[in-house]
Amino acid sequence: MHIAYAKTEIERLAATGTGIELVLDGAQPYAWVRDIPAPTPPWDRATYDILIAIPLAYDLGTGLDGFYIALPYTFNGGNHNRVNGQTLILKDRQWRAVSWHYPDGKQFRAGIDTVESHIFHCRGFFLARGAINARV
Amino acid sequence: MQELSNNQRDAREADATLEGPQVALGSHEVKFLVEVLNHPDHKLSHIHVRRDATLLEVLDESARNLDVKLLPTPQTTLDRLHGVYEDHRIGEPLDLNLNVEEFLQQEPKTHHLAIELVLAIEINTRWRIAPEKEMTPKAILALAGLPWEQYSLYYPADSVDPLPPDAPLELHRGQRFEAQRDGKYGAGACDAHRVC
Repeated sequence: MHIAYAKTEIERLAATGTGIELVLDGAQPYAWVRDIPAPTPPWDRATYDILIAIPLAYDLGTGLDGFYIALPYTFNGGNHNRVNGQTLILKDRQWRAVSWHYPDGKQFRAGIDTVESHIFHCRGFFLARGAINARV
Repeated sequence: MQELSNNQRDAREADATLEGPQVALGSHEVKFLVEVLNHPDHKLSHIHVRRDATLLEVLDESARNLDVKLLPTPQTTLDRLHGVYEDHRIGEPLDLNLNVEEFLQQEPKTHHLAIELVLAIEINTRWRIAPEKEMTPKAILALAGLPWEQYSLYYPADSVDPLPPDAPLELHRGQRFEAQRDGKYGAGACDAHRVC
């Protein structure tokens, strides 16, 4: 497992006030980020917890992509059609993968992008901003 | 060193009270005259600090006494502390790791300090000192070490529309921006570990 950089980034964020911790689901590490702000409406609450999968080869340059949202949630009173990935249970909470990614040519770049910048990329999903393809 | 503004020259009288026998406090405490540089509510105050206090602690005590907030936090502040010397000249920013005892051993000596509140801005969780009062989003991103070709800058932080990259913005202290790489929605169900 090569995630020492991710651990350092997470510890630094936690030390400066971000609600974040490293959690494991078996051998798979995740960054559990608390209280990502969201507009209400259309979302049913002002903050959500998210999970970010940390690739086992993060230190070797494998980037972050996508995230899981803590369930339950509602969007415009129903489901968001991009919250459509696999579900998992971690720390007694249910999570579902969100189809929110980096565009071609703008992928996560190790050394420039970090766990911190990925969190802000994920925040863009809740705000429906920065999407280069159709908005929902 | 730089000149103090005119409205700070009235510090002279208060400064003078620190000279001579008035400094004779308990052997473990030192009295300083403190002020905030270029502050509209210009005021002077006195603080008493331990000789072994660091200048970071002195800065914090001065800020609380003068009712100004250090950014981003008192422990990690980007704000600066300066000595004010003869003829009311301001020294270079002090090393905040020094303690009072060490500071008072330096020449020239002074018991008059001034806080410089810098133009601190926040980009995501990164605090930086803006070098100019007006900057373009491109320059702000560069200040945070983020390539403008890859990131968009948003203000207010929850804004949906990115700022025009070349349009200068007037900055204010404590202003918070968000920088974000664009995203794309996937087409359907997918595994979060791969793009779909």
